[in-house]
Order: sequence, then structure tokens, then C-alpha cells
Amino acid sequence: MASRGKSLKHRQRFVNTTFESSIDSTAVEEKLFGQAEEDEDVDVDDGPVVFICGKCKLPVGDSMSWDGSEDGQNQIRLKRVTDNVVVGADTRLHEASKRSLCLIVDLFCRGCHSVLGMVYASTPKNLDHKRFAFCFSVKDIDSYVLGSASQMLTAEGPKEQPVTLEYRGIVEQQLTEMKMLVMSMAQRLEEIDAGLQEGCDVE
Amino acid sequence: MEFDDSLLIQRSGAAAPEAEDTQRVTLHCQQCHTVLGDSLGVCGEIQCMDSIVCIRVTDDVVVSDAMESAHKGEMANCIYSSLKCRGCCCAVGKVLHSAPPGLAAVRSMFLLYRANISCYVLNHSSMVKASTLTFDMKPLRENMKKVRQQFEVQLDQMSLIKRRLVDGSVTSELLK
Repeated sequence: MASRGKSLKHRQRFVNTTFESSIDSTAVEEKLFGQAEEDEDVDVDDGPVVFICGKCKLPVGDSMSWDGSEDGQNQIRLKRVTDNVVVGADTRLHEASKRSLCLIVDLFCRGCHSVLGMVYASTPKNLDHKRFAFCFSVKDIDSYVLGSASQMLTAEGPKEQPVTLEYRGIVEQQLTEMKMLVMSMAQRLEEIDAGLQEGCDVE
Repeated sequence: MEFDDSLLIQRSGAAAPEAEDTQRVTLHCQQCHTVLGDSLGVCGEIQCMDSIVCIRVTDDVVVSDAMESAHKGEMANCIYSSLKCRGCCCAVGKVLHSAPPGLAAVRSMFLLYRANISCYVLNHSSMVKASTLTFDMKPLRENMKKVRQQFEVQLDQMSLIKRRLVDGSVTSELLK
């Protein structure tokens, strides 16, 4: 779970920084080629994960709002959840570990009313990072990794496969990268052109 | 919903997922919420049957052994099996084994019936009915054509500069 947390964080940064519409050529190249280098480091990058209630399977949130995980306590933290999560009305005492007492609020599933986790409302200093995040206990939730569905019916074999949204997404991403490349080329050419002009004027 | 400091707020803008975001959804049985698949395995939709076309689904989609055939309607002259949800045994779609030319392309694909599917949209933390999302795939050709045109413009530009370089060196030769 810890390694997953890392790769998820990594991905989130990707989503946020990749390809905004600025056309600064150095920035473009940095993004295009820098990304390729980074990609090699994180080759085992799973798809995003949807977390569902362990009992009734209602989605409670997904890894796009990942906040962290605690292996020792078998907890994951999300910044944002669905309306299927009900925040309890009462606060109660909770001893997170020896000598760290907290006040917590329970989280319930709207579908089956089972307890899914908690929100820390009042914490000692060492637990401040958990305050007001949605903490789910791993034993009470299930997860589904996008792309892990594997049942297929292709009798013809993999020779002739239709285009999926996944494949399409990859093609679109490549097209975007190519567009950025052209823009960076255009800028270089302009610079060369300007340089030439200057050279002519000097002569 | 999320916390803004200590205040629980409904996330604004979560109501209307934008087109590009619909790329990441999970497909659930409308009745028991079991995960049946996700957008990565979706190939498109087939409007006449009001179904989402998937090449991959989870093992919780059960293909019935019984083969049926229809003589009228959209599925006329098709041989198909129905798909059931493992969780609640509710019918969630069909798979065509044999079909006339019009539906030949979707044979051996999972056709999930929109009305019985709900979707969870990632990053929006919201559940929506499958009938409100579109999985219609527009051809990539337009997009590719645009990139190609951009490259061609740059090629012209390069030839222009090259020509100017050649001309420049010729005139400087003459001047000597």
C-alpha cells in the first residue's frame, strides 16, 4: 500500500502539471523529454483505483483525491468522497496509539449503514496530518483498479481488436505531444530566421 | 464532498463532468453496485440497442449458457446470450454470437444495457446514470489532419529559410 501511495502521488502531480496551454519551447521540451525519463523510474504504474464499500459495493471515493495511508493502522486517507459516505453526528474519544487521544467522528455507508472509517476532529500534534481527511479502514472497503477487468470473449484472438477508450486516450495524448513539438519547432525556426536576417544586415 | 478547513462542503463544479473526464469511469450494476467494468475496456456505444460496448468486463458479469434468438426488433436475426450480474442476478446486457451485417462488428463484445448500469466518475466523486454519459467515439482523423497540417506549415517555413540561405551565399560570392 505504501508503494501504491507513492505512485499515486506521482500520478497526481502528472495530471496537474502536464500540458497546460503555455507555448514556451523550453518548457515544452522539458515536459516532453523530462517525462520520458521519469516514466522509466515508475514502470509499474497501476491505473487509478476506485474505493467501494466492502459490504454493499457503493463507491466511496477514488485515488485521484489520495491523501496518504498508514500501514500500521491499515488506513487510507482521501481528501474527497462521494455522497455515499455519511459523516456521523457524534464525536467520540479514540486512542490512536498510546498517549495520543483524539476526538473522531465515524463515517458510515449510506447504502448499508456499516462503519467505513472516521474523521479526526481533534488531534494531538503528531496526528495533525490526519485532521479533516476521510480515513477509511482497509478491512471495511474494497478497491477496484481501473483496467483490471479481464473477462473477454474474443474467439478470433488478439489479431483484430477494436479501439478502446484506453487506446484512444493514448493516441490523443501522443497527438497532443506532437502538437507541442511542432510549436517548439516553429519557435526554433523563428529564431533561426531572425538570426539569418541579422546576419544579412551586418553584411 | 470534502473538508474546507473544518467545514464540510459539497464540491462545486462536481455536478457536470466534462467530456474528457468521462474517460475515467467505473461501470456498476444499477441494483447492487457490483463493479462490472471500467471505461478502459469500453469501445463505444450502440445506440439502437441503448448499450455500452465493452471488450473487457469483470468476472462479475456472467454469460448465460442459454442461447436465444430474436425474430423482430433491433436484434432480429441475432443469436445471443444474456449477461447477468453475479451479485444480484439482474440482467445487465447481452452478447451477440451471430448477427447480420449491421451488428456484425459487436459480436463477442459485452453489450451492457444502459438503463441497468450506473457509473462512478473518477475525480468528480459522483455517481451518475449511464444514460447521462456518452461513450460515442468521434474519429481521430480530424485531429490527426490538424497535426499533419501544422507539420506541413513548418516544412514550408524550413524550405523558405533554406532558400534564403542559398541565395544569401550566392550573393556574397558575387560581391567578392
